[in-house]
Amino acid sequence: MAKHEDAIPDAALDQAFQWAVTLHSGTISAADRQAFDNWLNAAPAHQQAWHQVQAVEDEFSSLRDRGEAARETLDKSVIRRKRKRAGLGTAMVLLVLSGWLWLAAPAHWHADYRTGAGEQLMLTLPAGTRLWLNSGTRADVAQAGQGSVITLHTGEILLDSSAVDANRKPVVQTKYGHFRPVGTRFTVTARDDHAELAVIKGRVEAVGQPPENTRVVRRGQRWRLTADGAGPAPGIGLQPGVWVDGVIEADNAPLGTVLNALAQHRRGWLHHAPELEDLKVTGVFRIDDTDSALRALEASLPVRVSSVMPFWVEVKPR
Amino acid sequence: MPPSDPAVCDQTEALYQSHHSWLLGWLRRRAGCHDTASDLAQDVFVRLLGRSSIPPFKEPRAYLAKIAHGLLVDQRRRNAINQAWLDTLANTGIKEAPSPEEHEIIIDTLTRIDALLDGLKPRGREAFLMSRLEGMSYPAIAKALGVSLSTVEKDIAKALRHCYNALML
Repeated sequence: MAKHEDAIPDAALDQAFQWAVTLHSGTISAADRQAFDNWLNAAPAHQQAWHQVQAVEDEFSSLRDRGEAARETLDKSVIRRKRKRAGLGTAMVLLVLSGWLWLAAPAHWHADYRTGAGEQLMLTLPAGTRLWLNSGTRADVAQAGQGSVITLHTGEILLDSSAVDANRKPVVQTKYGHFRPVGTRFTVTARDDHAELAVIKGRVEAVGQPPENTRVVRRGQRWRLTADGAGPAPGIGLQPGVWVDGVIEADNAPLGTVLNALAQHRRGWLHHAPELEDLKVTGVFRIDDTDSALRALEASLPVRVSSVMPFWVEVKPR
Repeated sequence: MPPSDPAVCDQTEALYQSHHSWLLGWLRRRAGCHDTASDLAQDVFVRLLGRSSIPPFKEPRAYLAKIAHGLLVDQRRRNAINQAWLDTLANTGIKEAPSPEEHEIIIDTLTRIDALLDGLKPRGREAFLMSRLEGMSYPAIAKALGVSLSTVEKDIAKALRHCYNALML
């Protein structure tokens, strides 16, 4: 940025702005073009001024190939910030964390692990990889060469392989491809129609089908493998992998997403009215006491939580 | 970045030694994440190194906190943009998804643009983005927005100047 260059005369700058406006009209004539060239070559100050105005134009023109998506993104981010400023539909809930009791199990060779609603499991694999199973998860662990192969059938796992030698890194296999970490902490979620990666630390190689669909995914990014391809996954407003700390952490997440995450940790039905789906929630919720999480939501959002019968909870507009 | 002035290096080093851990704590309380806080704290000092001079000040911590606050705001903006971009890609199909490297560049650029556009009136903003991002001609924009051609020209001129001022600030 040419910030402290010799001051450009205001008149030259004014003319440069005027030319920038004219040249982008989409209707310029050869005579306009000639007049512009004459102006530009008339004085060094004109070139300096033009150069500075182009610094602004360049920011925008670099996105021209993806102009529509860029514009939609900018519009969305404005809407998001407006909503935040108005404070509408955003609840702030903070609960004190409690210690989490691990349902720890010994790591057997080639074992099948399952967790039910409200259960979690932490394992240390032989090379030192730490593996956590979230509630409602089924995974196999087997030895292959130096490293472990974790086959995730359903649910969500968190892996920390930061301290593991490069040649003993684990591989996570799913129906839609596999993930190979590079000194890393990450989660993999397996659903019926896709497998999704969220990288918390380091990088992970995501190998889809066909293997040409390979990507190195970095910290903070999400990547989704499906039957017919791969691509970035939309953020859902939930911090990945913090369930190992016994919490769900929502940052402007849709209420529906938060309730689904809570439902994963409790028995029975947790229903919500469809019109509540996109109400925004920010806060930290304990997953070992989902009843108090629901009470906290009720206290801070325009919703009513009622229990039709034990194990059947309805969330409705108030 | 131009090579730093030796005096700036010395001043930055002294500030780093006296205040880095304080700044880290300050950032950690606000960012809520250790990794983010230490990255941002690092960035604050890198910014200082890039300056042509550092004025002597009575309240170095207030000065550091001011820079750090700006970086935090930028980062929140970047996160919001990243989220919005991924949503947009998900809605429009994922076939032409950019590589992770391209993704970073796009998000950086969009974050800077978003900051430049701050404070612009909605109609001017819309006209400007239609022109510069979508390549629409002014007559087409006038038609889409239901305003006269001269209004579009005025809006674009105003928006361009607004962005220029924001960029040069």
